[in-house]
Amino acid sequence: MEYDCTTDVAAGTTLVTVRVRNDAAVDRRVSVRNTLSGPVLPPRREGVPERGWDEEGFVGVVDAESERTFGYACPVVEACADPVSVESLGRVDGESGTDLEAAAVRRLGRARPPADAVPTSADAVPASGDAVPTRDSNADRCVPDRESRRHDDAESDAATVDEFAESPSANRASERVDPVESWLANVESRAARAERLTDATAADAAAVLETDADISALPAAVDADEAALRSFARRATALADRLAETDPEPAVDALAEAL
Amino acid sequence: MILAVTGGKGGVGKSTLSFELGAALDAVVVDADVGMADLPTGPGPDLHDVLGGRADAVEAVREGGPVRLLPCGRSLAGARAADVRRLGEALRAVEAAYDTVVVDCPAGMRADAGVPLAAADACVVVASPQEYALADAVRTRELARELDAGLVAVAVNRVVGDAPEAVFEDVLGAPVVSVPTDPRVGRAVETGRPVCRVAPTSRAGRAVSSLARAVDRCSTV
Repeated sequence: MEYDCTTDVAAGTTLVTVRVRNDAAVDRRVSVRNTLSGPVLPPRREGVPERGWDEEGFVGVVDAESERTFGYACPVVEACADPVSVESLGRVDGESGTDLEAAAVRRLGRARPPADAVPTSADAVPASGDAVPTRDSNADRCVPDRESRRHDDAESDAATVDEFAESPSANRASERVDPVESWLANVESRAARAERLTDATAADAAAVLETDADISALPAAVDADEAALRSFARRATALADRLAETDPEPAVDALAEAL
Repeated sequence: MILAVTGGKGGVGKSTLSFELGAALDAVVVDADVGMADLPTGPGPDLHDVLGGRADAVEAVREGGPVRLLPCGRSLAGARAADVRRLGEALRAVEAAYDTVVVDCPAGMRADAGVPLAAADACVVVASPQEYALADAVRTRELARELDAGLVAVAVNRVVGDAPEAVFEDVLGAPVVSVPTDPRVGRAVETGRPVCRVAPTSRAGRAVSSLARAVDRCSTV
């Protein structure tokens, strides 16, 4: 099995291209192993490595009398005369096992609701000003009617709870998440992702990419989160101070006695 | 075995027939419609939690109802966080614990419909009785074939009068079972009373049993 290999360096990462020629008259299985000191970052589709790739390299078939080109990235930069080792594993005997589930995800694409449709996503949190979603914020435009109504009424009308308990969708009541809780949970998960990406190597970044393919919006979301949390903290402190000043108990007790 | 109940279109009765087949086969029905779940749920972990890595698939199976069920959450956030790549593993875990799994697949041709087919040993394609529904059934069969889920039977659902069985059989090359319209079938999920149990001699009840026998035959081969 003949091959030639070229490398290119970009942003601290070596991009390796290997061309493998199979001059035999039969299809042959080939193993392309990475010899650089870093892990292989294989080509992916929909976040799933292409068929035949793993952390070591590629194993697959090169058709008879033809040529196949492979490319991968490796998050190290080092001088190396031969960054790959290519080995023929002999002629192809029957179909090897394939991961149909990974192939289905690669080919068909994931069906996920877009981030904009999720009420508690980064986009639902205003970048500045009021941290908690209010009637005027972007958030309420995304929140389903039932949710926003609940939010608006929550402070003023305790009876709303009963109204919901009796509604036909009562069995879903347990699924409704407290908007503040879920907002904080979302911020926490973004913070964890941002921490993992802080001074990260390309391998760490790829690991994060595995868990969520869309991190392009993360830096902006983290900035917005920070601003929103600081503003929220100021407002919460002011509110707590106001509460500390109040003392409704004597009046309430007196009223209770009068009744 | 893992049986996928699939069909390109929404609203053809996949969830209802999954529920009936679950009852007839004494199986666990998994509601794999990650984006738009149909089967009833309640408090406790669901498929969103399983696919989000927060719960074990076997622990999320609800034992109490008329049919054992692994329900799916309904929140958009849960659907977004669910990783469909974990579905095959979850289905195999439930199969290992309960033997037979019926997967209610979502409509469409994206990965959330494809992965259950890739994980399944066999599938039943549900179609509505109009001839124009044939094209969807063909597309679904092609996807199932590509992902190695053998087609057990085509269920032509909600049949009034004569179903175009011969056309479906000719084109799809699989046995066709017509499930006649019966309001009890439509209400079965809501009332928790599968027709194949409460009215086994009704035409709809017999059709479900016939589908279940076809599945049994294929699983014993």
